[in-house]
Amino acid sequence: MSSWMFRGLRKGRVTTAFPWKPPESVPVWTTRPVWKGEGEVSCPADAIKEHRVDIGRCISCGYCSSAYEPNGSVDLSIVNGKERIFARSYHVYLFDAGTCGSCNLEIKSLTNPVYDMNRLGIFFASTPKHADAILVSGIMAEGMREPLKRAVEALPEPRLVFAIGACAISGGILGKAITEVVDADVIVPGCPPNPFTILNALLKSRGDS
Amino acid sequence: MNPGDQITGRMRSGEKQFVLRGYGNPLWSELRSGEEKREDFMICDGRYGEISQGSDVFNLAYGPSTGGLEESVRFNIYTYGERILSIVAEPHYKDRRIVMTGTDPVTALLRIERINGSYSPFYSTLFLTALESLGDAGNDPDLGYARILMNETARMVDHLHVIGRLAEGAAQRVASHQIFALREDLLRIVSARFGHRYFFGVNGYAGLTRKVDFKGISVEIERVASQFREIWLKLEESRIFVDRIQMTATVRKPWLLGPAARGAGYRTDSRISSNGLPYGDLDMQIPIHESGDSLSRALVRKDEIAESASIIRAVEGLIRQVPDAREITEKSFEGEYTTRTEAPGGDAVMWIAVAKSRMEAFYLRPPSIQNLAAFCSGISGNVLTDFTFGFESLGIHVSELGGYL
Repeated sequence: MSSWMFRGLRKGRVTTAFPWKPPESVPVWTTRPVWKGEGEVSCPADAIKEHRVDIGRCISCGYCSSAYEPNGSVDLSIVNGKERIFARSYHVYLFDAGTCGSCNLEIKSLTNPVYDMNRLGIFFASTPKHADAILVSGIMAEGMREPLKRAVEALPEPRLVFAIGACAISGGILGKAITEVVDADVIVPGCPPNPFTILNALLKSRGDS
Repeated sequence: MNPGDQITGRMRSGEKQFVLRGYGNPLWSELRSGEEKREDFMICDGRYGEISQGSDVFNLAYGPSTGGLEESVRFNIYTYGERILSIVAEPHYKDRRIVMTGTDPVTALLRIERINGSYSPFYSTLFLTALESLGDAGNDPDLGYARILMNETARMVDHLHVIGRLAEGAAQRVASHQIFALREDLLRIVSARFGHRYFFGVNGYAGLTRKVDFKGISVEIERVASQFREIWLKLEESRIFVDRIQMTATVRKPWLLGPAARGAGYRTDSRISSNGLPYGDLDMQIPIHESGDSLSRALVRKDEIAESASIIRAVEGLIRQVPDAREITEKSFEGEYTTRTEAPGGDAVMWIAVAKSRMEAFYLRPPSIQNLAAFCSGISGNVLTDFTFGFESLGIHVSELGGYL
């Protein structure tokens, strides 16, 4: 046990200073592409119209790089419902409606020592019955329709529903959005959204500035 | 049922061609019984494991959505109360039925990257290798080395994830946190160099879509590998960790692939025989362990992390000028092609057929098919607490178990 402790001390602090300081590392192509002022591109996800990017459809492929550049900001989420009651203790349930696995991994990353969402009073719940919010990722796979409805119904009030990633928000390039089955209070764009974007959305949804 | 319904694709193995159809088709059982004995190929019909019956036996349902599983999958665990008599896995809940037929190659590539985000560079390389072969794009060695570098980095990321999950399941929380922090370090290296943590959009036709600076990347990756070695040495000192994963979920079937096969003493690695990437130019070691249990599989992955770091060091020295990706739309593709590669979970085979630059058919045999079957086979006879060790040690990705239209 002591050897683990010494290793930890030698390694020093690895936890991010976010949200008090800017993120240390942002995968640029998961942030909003902005038109450079010249050039035209054809977006394979149909996310660009008249030089404006529908960030809910953007699949972070970077194929628009000849005319667009990412702005690098992790503040991408759109929060339509806030619950300040979750400010001190916030339990969230991860629901995979039909993902490629990467959204799940980015959400789960929030518990590693680098992001350590527990320090901000955010925790994973093992069942929707004990959760304040449900983080839904992936397209709406047919087999997960009924489990999703039942999971959302099992959440106690007040509750928040998150649509995490392009697939959940718009169906992306693979299928249908989860909003066909449930209404989302918070949308978190990206393919997949990076952990800072997800953490930022969680904080915003409970009213943190 | 119309035999043409729900065709998910076709695969050529040796001289024979197989038509693989959707779930519930009676042809499945016929095909399966004929091919199950083949070492390199197994057909699954969407059900894994066997049902147990008897007095006092009950079905403990786990999933499809629960806090303990990262992806949606249901397990029917047949038990008297402690010992697992058998398990039936049902991965079809999150089957996305990805449409490939009729799509253009650009859309197909983007969808293939998203079959399994963790294996994105492997599957995009498979597809692009096939496409480049059909389009006579040549075989640029620098591009081959760059793809090896991407694949080996993704292999390290996946192995760190699997070992971290295994340590977490075995109550080694300090170790698992430190491993997940290392995985994050590695993802940040990938992010800084490639612009995306999962390599989405990087791999292109006959080149890379972005300018990537490879200089010095092996030094950064070696730092991660070296820290992992240090953590592993401490981890294997833990009797609790070793006792929990040793002799659990032991499986030694001839159809095993990847770390599961190498952990059961089988010397198999399709990087040696791959028709896509120039692994033959490299001096590569294949780690083998004999026991076939969760510990052996973890040991294989641990050794492969070091081996991947060594491969990355070698290829970085060989990369000179990686070509820019060419426009896929400028080419006209026609024909069919089969490629294979060694993904972190094992051998993956892709077969594509293209007509007039449109996907006519697509089939992917991902390693998770074998790994899930291996889990259902190996976990029988173990106790319920061993479930996590068996499942996590096989590195199963449910996302790649879906069908294609």
